[in-house]
Amino acid sequence: MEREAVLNLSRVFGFEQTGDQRKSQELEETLVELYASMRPSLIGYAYQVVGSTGDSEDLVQVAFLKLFDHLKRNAKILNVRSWLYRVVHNLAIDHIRRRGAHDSAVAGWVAERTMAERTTSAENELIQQQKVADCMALLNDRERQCLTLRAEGLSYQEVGEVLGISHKSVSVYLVRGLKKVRSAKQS
Amino acid sequence: MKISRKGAFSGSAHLNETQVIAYLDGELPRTERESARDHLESCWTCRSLLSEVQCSIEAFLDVRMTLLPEEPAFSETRVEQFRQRLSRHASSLDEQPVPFKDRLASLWAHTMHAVGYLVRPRQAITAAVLVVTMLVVMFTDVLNTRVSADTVLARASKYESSHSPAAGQVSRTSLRVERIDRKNPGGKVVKQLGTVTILRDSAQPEMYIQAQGVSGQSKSEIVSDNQGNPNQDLLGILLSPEDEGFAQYVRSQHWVPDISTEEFHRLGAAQGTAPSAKKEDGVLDVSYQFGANPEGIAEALLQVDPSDYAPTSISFLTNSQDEQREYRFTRTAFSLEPRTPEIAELFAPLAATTTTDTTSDRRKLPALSRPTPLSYSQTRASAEEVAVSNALHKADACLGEEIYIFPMSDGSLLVQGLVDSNARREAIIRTLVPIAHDVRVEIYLPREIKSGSDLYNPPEQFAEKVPANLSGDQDATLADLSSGQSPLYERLNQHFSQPGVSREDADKQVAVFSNEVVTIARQTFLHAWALKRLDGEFSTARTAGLSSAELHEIDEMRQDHRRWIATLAKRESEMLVPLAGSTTPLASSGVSDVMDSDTLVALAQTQNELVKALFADSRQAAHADANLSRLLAVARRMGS
Repeated sequence: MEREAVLNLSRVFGFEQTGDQRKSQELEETLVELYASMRPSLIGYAYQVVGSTGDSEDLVQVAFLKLFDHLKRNAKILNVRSWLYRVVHNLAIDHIRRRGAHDSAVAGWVAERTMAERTTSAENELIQQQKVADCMALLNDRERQCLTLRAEGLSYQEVGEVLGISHKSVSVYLVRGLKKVRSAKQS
Repeated sequence: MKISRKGAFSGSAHLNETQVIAYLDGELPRTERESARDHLESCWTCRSLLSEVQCSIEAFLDVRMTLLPEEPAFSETRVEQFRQRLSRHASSLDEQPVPFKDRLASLWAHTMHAVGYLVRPRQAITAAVLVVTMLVVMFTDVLNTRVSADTVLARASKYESSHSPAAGQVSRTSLRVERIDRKNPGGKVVKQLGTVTILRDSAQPEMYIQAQGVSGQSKSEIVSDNQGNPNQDLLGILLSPEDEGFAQYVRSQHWVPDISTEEFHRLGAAQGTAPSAKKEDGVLDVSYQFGANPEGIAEALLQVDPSDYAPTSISFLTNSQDEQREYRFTRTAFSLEPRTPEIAELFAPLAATTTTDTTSDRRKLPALSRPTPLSYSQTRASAEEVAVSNALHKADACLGEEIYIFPMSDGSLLVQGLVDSNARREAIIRTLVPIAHDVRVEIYLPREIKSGSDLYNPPEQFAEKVPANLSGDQDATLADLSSGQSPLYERLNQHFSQPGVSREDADKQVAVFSNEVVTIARQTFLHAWALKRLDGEFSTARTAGLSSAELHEIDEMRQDHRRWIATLAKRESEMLVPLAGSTTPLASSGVSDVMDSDTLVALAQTQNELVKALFADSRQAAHADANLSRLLAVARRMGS
């Protein structure tokens, strides 16, 4: 699936690089195919930032609309995949910044309580959830983003492009992040 | 990476973690990759590191799996939905001409292509910035906040006529009336005066107006739209003797208490002044500045929503040396409703009377059926209210959630509020269902609130909300550990760095510890605040008629919060004592009397600020010691 998505990118490139005004319909078709194949990964990434499937779906669709506008204007995109991740990343960050003051005020409290309410689930599951929470709490934003994007199969170079940092920094964040994951696992 | 010669890895130099990860990720250059592989084949140490890294990657993937959304169902539907959205988007693009911006950009690109090599990049960028700035300043109104008052009024009037009731309909407008004292020595004071409801009928030029004071008394009249308010004292029941100036002004102008551009225009015309308008904080303000008038009203101000030109509020401002007051009428709701027989009946007395009837203000008009919330000071707590409050208490809805109980003018209770998720709403409604039949529950999610009009203001005592530093963005819900630089970081690290504990483990313990301290402080505050709310809601005046069982129930809720505060504060001081050194004794300071809720709220707030300074703010490192001992003292006082 993932491979196919990458292969499909060459068709998108073909559109903008030859510079000919192919029919908009053809571009639409290509983008819908690309959307179908990349949707799960991009939504997964957006979901980790915004925490809601509905919002994630919308952000990813908006990113594709932007891609459409971009290609229609014959703008150059060197790597469509990292471009999409970057746009989704920025949209998601904007989204949580814009979210109403009320959300952020009570969200923390609600999150605490929902953790507390889960006493009914099996003990093992609870321990597992606690581990997950511990592990995620230890990672900082950058480390989490680097690990997630790498897990999505992006190269260091691509991760760097998405986050606007160098590929060397990506490597450093990955090492630190994995160390923290290991320590959470061992404890 | 320190690899200078081929085969460097195969010697004694082991691979470091960065190299191992890069190797696994296929990110090493070819030559290094080969040496690394050779080395790994020969070296057990590095192979074990490699498998450790592999395990961490797997662990991360496991964690991530649990955090991913479940595979969204109907993905085909979603793709189809996107196809349609894209196609709509594409056709809307086709209809638009190429944006000026893009034409400019392409022109710029051509020019740069032609002469680009002549100019150095820095100059080119400066020039581009200059050109863009000039274009923005010339063609937009970025620097211009002045707008034409007449245009705004004309558009607002157009909005009104497009929203007037059609045949067989009536429009219902609700206004909130407030008095705002700006020159009060204790800061700005907003007092709710009451509400006004206006029904306009498509069939006749008269309006049905009902004014209702905060204590529930109400007065209704039918007034004629085009002659101003003939009966003059409709607002009388909202105003007190100190509002005499404004009352006189309303009487002298025959002002109808409605937000209408026509009425507003008439006020200005009466004074012979021209309107001025400006855009401020995203709202259009149209104002008439009056010179001296006997009633002391200096300005009338109409606020208009710039997105659709809907008039939203009208204010009258007084301005004298010792006071500066604003009487504000804000539109809280507007709806078009069918003209039901009940509503028609409201207008019926009018049809029955002749125009010669001059005692029209004596007519007994049927009252509107929609109840309004009353203030605590004007009502008494009922057994039902105690039961509802207790149910909310048991569901923890009293802790930091915006849920209030409103005694209504028809004697019923309304539980109204805002929660974060549907699941939470369901949970609260479930706890309220078994209580009583006469309780209306309106709990909204943020996305369902279209304007501020859907929610009533909290009952008076809580008009001041949870202090900003606990509800706003700067809220310290988690200790700021990203920088590892909180003022106590070093000390905490020392404390947890026992022999045999690795640096990472110590770091982790510091993180867990800090987060717990922050969480405890926050919860203490929420309990103190809930206690204060209970004091306001069930003051001695309001609980006078309750039975001893109900009083006991209220007392239990209070004790419950106090117990929590004490337990949390004890835990906090136990956690902090080892950090502060052993010089301070653990015994309480001997304060054993019961503190009132205001003191507790103040203490809890101080505690929160100190915790924030100590665990989330690296700028206050200098006062770490003093802050820590203050925090300890506060926690002990609350825990005693």
